[in-house]
Amino acid sequence: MKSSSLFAHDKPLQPWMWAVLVNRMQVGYFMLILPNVLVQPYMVWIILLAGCLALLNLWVIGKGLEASYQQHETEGWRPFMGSVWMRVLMVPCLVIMLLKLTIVVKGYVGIVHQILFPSVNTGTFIVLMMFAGYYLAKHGMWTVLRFGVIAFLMSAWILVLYGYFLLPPEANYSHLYPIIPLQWPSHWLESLLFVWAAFAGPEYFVVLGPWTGGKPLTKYFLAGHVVSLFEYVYFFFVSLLFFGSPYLKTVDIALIQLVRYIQLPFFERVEMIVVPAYMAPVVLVIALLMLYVYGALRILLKRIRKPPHAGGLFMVFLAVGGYLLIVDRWLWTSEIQRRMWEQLQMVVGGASFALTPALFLVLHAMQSRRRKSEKAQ
Amino acid sequence: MKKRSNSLMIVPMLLMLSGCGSWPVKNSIIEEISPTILLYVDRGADKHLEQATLIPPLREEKKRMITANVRLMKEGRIQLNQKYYREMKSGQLRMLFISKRLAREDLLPIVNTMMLDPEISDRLYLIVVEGDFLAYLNQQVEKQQEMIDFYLYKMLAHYERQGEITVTNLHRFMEAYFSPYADPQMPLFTANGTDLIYEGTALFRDGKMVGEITALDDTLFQILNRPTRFQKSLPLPERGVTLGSLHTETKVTVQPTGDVKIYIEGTGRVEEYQGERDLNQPEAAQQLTRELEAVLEQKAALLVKKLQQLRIDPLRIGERTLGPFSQPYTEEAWKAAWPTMPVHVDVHLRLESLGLLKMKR
Amino acid sequence: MNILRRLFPAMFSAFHAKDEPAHGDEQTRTDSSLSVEELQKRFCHVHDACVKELQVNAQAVTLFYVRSLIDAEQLREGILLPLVHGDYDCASRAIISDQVKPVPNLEKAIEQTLQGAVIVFGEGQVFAVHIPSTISRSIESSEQEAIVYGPKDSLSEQLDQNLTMIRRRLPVPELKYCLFTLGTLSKTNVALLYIEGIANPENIRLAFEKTSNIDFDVFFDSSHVSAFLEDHMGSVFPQFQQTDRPDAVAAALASGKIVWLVANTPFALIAPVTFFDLFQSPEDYIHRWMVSSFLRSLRFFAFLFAIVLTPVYVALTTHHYYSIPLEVLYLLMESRSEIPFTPIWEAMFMLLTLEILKEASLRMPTKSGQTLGIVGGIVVGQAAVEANVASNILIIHIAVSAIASFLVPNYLMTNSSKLIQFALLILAAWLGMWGIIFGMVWVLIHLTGLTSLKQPYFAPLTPMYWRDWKDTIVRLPLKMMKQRPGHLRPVAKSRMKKEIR
Repeated sequence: MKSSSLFAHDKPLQPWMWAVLVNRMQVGYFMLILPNVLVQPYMVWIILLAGCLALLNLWVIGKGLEASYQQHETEGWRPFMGSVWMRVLMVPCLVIMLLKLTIVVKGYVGIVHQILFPSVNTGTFIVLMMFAGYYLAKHGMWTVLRFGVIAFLMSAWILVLYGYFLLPPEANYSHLYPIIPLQWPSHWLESLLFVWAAFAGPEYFVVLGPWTGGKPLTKYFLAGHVVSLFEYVYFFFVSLLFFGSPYLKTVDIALIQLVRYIQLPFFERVEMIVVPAYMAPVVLVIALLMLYVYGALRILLKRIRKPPHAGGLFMVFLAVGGYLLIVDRWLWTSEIQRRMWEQLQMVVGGASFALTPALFLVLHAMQSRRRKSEKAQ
Repeated sequence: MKKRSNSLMIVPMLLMLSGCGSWPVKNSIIEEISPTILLYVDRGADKHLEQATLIPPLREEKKRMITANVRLMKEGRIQLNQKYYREMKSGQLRMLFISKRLAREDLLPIVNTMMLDPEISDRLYLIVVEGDFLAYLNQQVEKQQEMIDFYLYKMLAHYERQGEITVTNLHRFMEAYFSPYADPQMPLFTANGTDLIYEGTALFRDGKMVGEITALDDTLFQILNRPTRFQKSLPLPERGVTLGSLHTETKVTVQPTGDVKIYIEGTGRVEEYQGERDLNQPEAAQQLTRELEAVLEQKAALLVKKLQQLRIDPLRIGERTLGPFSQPYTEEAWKAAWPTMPVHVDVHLRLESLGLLKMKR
Repeated sequence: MNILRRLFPAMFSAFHAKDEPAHGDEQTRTDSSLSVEELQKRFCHVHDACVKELQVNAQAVTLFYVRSLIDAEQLREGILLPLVHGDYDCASRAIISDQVKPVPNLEKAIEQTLQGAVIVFGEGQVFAVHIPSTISRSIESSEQEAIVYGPKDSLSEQLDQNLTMIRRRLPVPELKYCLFTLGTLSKTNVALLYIEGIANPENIRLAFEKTSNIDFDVFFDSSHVSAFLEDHMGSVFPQFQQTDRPDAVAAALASGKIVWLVANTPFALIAPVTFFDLFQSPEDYIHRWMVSSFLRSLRFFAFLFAIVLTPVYVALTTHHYYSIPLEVLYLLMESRSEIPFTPIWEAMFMLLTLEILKEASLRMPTKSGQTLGIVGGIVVGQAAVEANVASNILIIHIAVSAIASFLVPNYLMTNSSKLIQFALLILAAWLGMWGIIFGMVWVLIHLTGLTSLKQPYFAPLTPMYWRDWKDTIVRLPLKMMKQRPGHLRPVAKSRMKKEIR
């Protein structure tokens, strides 16, 4: 593929692939630590509540995307790419993207380091995954988005594995009782915010309008979201059935701990396969965000008129890789620091997800102003 | 352009990898390591832990036992390791034998150490052993029973599936420990010089062993412990009867009044009878059935009474109080109420067959 | 076709000039430099070049040809006899053949001669009669894609014969056939086949563009041609399907693919192909659909197995000893205890030995190949175990994965899988299962980005075409496949009579 086709969008993506992408963007690192944060059985209502709110949010995003990319009407963001406001907007966007990247990569690598290779430096895994992400990003946005299906298939089969814990003797259904809160739950707002932040991710699609081919995609967005919602509830129930809430509180990464319990007749300790299999969605997110960072930098540095450049992407790769290694070395080394990063992502990720619909209002305002000024001329 | 960026990729890749200094991965090639599958812990003098394991595991080589006497669990692993030419690994650790002496103290720090090690599986079997386990192991090794550790593992794995005896692992122990309405249990074995004998179930409260259920009571305990169960045979020597192929269904309910009702429905047959009655007479058979029911009821009630006296609830009766929309007892309330709760046991037996030979006396 | 005509006017006019028969008025425009003497000069030291002078109706007629390139029988029956015994006033009338072509200049004369023509000089006219020698083997059954039931014929080295076999299967005028001559030295005829109204016009345009841009000296096989047509040079996966089964070619054409037939090789090229196409065999459509679904999914499983089995052995024995069930661990430790090499070297050594054996037995005549197989497989394997060079469990792994790799019908794919296997082996030794899956993610990224004739290689999977899954990993009843594969974006989508035309 030629270097100039990094952002080529001559072929739109089929609608179903968007459902898959929404799903994989939502189930990331936060899903793995979710059961430990929620713990109490009645917290399932918080998942459902946050899920419904996120559903509404996604509906707005989907509709906004449809409205702003109706092909005959406008070209979406494209006319405003060079404006000063846009360039200013790119600065917080870059921070949000880098934060998301840090959580996804470092969180995953931390699990690999803890469970599989305590003797191997986390930097090795970061470097290797960055290379995989760069290799994917180099194929261009269209391929990155298509890789969503692979990422889905490589990680979704794990759902079936957890079915083992739905049946006694491993499942103790009395752990689910009582399922309604009998006193006013403490930290409910924090948990709600956490689940909300866990559902964040699809907000990155607002600029992918050109790849939608102008098709209405809201229902596919929602379908993908419902699948994620199901996964969240499923994983939450499964870990609750197995551990019970008091024990669940003390377990580090419940979902991985669960997998370790499975014994297949020819293979024990299935975490050997499950933990690496989660790599595929992580690589997808790395590649996607790398392209985003490159795109944002092009806007920021006023390079939008020039064709995208493989060398530019390579520079982004070096910069992002270097940043992640710095984080790995100095800024995220202990459990305390990990919690701090998680809190930060919870607030920032949640806020960016919640504020995305507002972006469409801004876009709408900008478009109508532009139209007015065109008329005036 | 593409070619240049491709070749450029190699340089930082090598730089970063060498810079991270992580190329040499610590590996565990199977013939170079020695995965222990059995570990024995005992409380030694001066708050020390005595640990022992068999080496070489899984090898057709002459076996021997090595021991360590240290303050900490993992310290013991290092010391054991230093006594042997292959590196010891605990990833295949399958059984942790704990001496009864140690079990009477707080077990949690030891069990927690096992939990924290990502190498050790949650399926690690926990066993309490009474008597001189080291002597037993030594004796087995002398007798050329090279794979004794492997055989012990196979035994536990078999009974875990079959459910004849109590088998528990790290996860189940921890889950019961943390559960507000349950208390952990472990199998109890006795080691004498030549044999390792299954005694029954060791009962725990807050990580300390507080009691045990032995002999035929243990069989009854297994029946009470599971909602449905198949018992190959249940001997009742005081009535001269052995019940065989016994299917039991146990229902435990806690009334709102605070009464515990245990209802056991059993279906089985008489496999052995050494009594005086003529079982061909329906009345005599009825009478025997009633008698057996009474015996079982009495034994079960005594067993539960014993548990109440110990202030423990390994049968998870407290969980039965919970409903989807109700939680009548909080953890503290249950712990306070349980020892004094009235318990009613009701056994209903159906004997499908009264014996093979219809002998006339 | 009209679009094409507009796009490539030059090319089309060239075809038509070639195909049109000799007309009287064209014969007059003969270059004056063209003479027997000039031809002889150019064919100096070419000893099979012959000149034959005849007297026909008191006129001198000279024939010039290269003996090894023409059919002697046809020369006698079609040219010499009519000329000598005929009662014609003009030599060109005497020879009745559809293969008579005018020769405007010397270069054309040389070209025609080398394509198996006899150049006839007489009465100031020069024309060429094509009577190429048709030495070829007979139609045999395919060795590369042998099947138990189904058609037994296979393509041969003769382009015309191959075309006949395909045309018989698809007797429709929409089956288009365009000829290119490639190679400055080999002058290989390459035919581009497609069905108008089914194949996607964009693919056809691309195929024409790519084929006409080829510039090289010799082409002896279709793989040489494919090397110039492929989108990605640095890929281990074949981007063209090569087959010598005419039924497979016809099926590909009918589903909207494009086929290249290359002269002097029995292997046709098919594009665009997908990764999944390479796992299909014509026999899939002969078995009951349930059986062939099973067999086809078995092939995918076997492919994965062949790639992963040995690396997993290395990963488990090097890093993840705790994942091995205790019973198996016991066996493994016993069998590995005496071996002087680490698992990676042991596996590398045995795998390389196997590859050497395989390569050797391929190049051997059938009989000695069998002996080699037995000696290699049994003796070396057994000896390696007994000499404690390799563990018997590894030998089982390698043997099973080698057999599994042959379940893939495409031989090129089988060999590609070997390369991936070696890469995974190294990753497995370094980072265990994580390394293996990292390698697989890399391969999957590569496959997602790969294209064949600019069409996605991983097609029914990503981009997702639900309908095509009826004939990808499983093969549902033919009656259910009412439409042509969607990923080929055919013009006429339906396979049924009503909608097609």
